[in-house]
Amino acid sequence: MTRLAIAAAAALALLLGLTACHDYPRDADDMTAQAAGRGMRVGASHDPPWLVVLPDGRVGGPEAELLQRYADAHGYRLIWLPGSHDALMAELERAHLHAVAGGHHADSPWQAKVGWSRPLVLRASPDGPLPERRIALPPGQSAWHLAFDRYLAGRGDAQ
Amino acid sequence: MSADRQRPPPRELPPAQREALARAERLCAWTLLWMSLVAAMMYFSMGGSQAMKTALIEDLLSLLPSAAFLVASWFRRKGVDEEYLSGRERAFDINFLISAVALTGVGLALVYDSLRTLATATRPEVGTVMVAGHVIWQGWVMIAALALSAVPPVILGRRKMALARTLSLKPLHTDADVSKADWMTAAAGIVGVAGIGFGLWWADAVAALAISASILHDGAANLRAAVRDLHDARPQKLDRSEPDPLPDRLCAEISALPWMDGCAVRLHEEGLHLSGIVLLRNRTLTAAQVEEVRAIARALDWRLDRVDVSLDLRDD
Repeated sequence: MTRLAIAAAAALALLLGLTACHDYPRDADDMTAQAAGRGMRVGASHDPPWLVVLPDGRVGGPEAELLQRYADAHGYRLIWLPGSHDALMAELERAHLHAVAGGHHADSPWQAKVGWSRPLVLRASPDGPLPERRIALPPGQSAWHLAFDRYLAGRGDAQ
Repeated sequence: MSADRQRPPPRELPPAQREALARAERLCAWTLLWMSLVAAMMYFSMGGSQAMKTALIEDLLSLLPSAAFLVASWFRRKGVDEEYLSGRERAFDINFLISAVALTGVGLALVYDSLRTLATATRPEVGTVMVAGHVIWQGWVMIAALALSAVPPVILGRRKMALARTLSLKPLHTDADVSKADWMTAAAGIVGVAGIGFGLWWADAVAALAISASILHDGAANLRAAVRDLHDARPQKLDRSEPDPLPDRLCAEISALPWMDGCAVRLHEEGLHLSGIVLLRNRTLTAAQVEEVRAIARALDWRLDRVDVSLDLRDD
């Protein structure tokens, strides 16, 4: 058993050594590369005042502006995909979307199935309360998730 | 002769074994404490990793053998009374069954979770955490928690294995197997989380599946042995590799007695001890001869503290 434990420890040390490479962690479905190549696909679920889907299909509101700033900062072309919340989340769970903004509830069944950004620092009005709002991210895309949260934290956009 | 005199007294243990049993009890109490802390730590550090969730389930299940051991030991100490006329030696046999079921349950939980993850192609979610103002990948926290969680089972498991040998106590041996399953699952969890970091969403589940084969093997072997022991089957060595040599040695020593016409022993495991009957081929038997046989058994091993002696009067 001692020899087995030593072998296990050696294997783990090797593994952790390998993970010290610069592109770690990575995405399960190359979401970061996809955003750069084919555009960043973001689902928008109408949820005023945070995210407003206008009748002509354009998307506005503070959360939409935040995502636009993120896309601009990385040179991604932002593609808005307005839709119903459940349909968008189903797409997100299969890693077909880069994010879903608006329409999230703390007790939603999607809570455990997808990833969540750090809580945003957004207020409906300058002296309004600070609700815990997050952007939904595709599960298993560690590099994408980490980059997004680092951006939020770096700009003071995360709580 | 009063009813009290007919009842056997509680079965005493030699001082060394009594001390070992007390140490085993303390070890099990420490197990409950440490593994509860580990389970709490895992709960707060786990993300969506299946292996991590399974490791938590396993930590909770691994409390079961130690808890059962403490209950069994307490129950056994109560000894003989109006209700339990032959004492409560079998408490440890029940403990053995419970431990074996827990170990098998751990293995089955692992297989179920891994297969479900693979079948549904679920991408395990590993998010981020804030540590001292820095956003870091949660995988690092999970790996640290898993590595930390492997330390208590390695230490506790080794100590339990040593005590199980001193006491020839199978439930303690199974508890040590559960500890082994614990740290192996933690190691598999680390490989799984590191794999997720490489973008291999299935790494987690495959690592858990690989470990579950070994755990299920241990669980099934223990389960079979527990069922055997409850049927008073032929005694086996502690690691269940082969029959216990004690019955044959007892028979050999008894056969060496000058007045002996031949003997057969039929022993079974009863908690810490071996109980059973020695059948002699003699036509007659005196009280002194019976006591002589019993003395040989007691001198041979502390586990043979009480054997019955009878005549095998079949005509053949």
